[in-house]
Amino acid sequence: MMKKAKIAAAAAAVALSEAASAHEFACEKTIEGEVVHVVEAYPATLHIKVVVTNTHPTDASTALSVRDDLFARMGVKVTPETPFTLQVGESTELDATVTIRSEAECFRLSRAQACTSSFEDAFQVLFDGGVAQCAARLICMGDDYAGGKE
Amino acid sequence: MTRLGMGIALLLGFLVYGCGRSNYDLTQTTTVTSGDGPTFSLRLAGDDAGDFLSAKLRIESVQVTGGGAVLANAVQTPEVDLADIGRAHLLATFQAPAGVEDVEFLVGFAGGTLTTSKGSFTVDARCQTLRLTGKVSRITERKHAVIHLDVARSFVPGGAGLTLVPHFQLVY
Repeated sequence: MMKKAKIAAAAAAVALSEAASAHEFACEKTIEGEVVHVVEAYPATLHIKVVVTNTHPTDASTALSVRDDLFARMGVKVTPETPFTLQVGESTELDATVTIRSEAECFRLSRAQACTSSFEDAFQVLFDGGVAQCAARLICMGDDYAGGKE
Repeated sequence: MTRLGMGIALLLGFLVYGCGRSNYDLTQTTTVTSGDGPTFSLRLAGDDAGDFLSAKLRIESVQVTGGGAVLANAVQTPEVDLADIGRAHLLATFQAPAGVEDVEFLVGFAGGTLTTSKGSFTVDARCQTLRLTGKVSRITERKHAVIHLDVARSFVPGGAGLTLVPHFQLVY
């Protein structure tokens, strides 16, 4: 009887540990609806959208934390706060608006990533089974930009 | 005159040697910490090649850090083809010091070339760095962490070539 209880407890522990590791996410990030967005005039108010989806086929997934260095630098608070759980197939949308006040600020953000005139805006979801990253890219144009290429 | 010539040649030699060293070469001299625990690997694989027949990227730098120490700082595979689905290219091997819970991975690209049935496209990825954190407790389970780069979503047409906008998953 004792043995059966121990086996049952062990089986439950295994099942729980497998369930605990069963988390999968995917995300999509856009700036003004685009994956690559060109800033042509300043100040530029940009609408940034992130959609996080639980892609696990059968289980709920829990996001332990999120990381977005651009949001952090610009003081944007990400909601919903972590940890959060999404059911199978469920998505949540994170919206933020940032303003790049000048050409100088845009280029400063680029140089912070060792780039000359563009920068990556990456969003990461950290969960028990790993990390999922989606990103968008901003290209800074000078104030004298007249619709030509960079 | 001969001595003067030799002196000038030596000076020029030192100058040429010094100018030819890239930033990456300089970081190679960083002291790498190794422990006596298990050796882990960091790998890079392509997922969903989309229309790309090949997706060759040159790796400029790979660094693994944890607990304030550099755990790996060398390029094991200078070029990877991420359209070769199912192959996980070795980026680095490292050991995590006792007590370290998280390790930070930095992978820098120098550029690359992607081909479709319509032609060949260059990728300017010189300022691109994948920056992510891995949990040592999870890496320990299978002794590796694999970055799966979504090829179809990560290369966006722009300008004269493709822009790398990295979409990936890190799995243990």
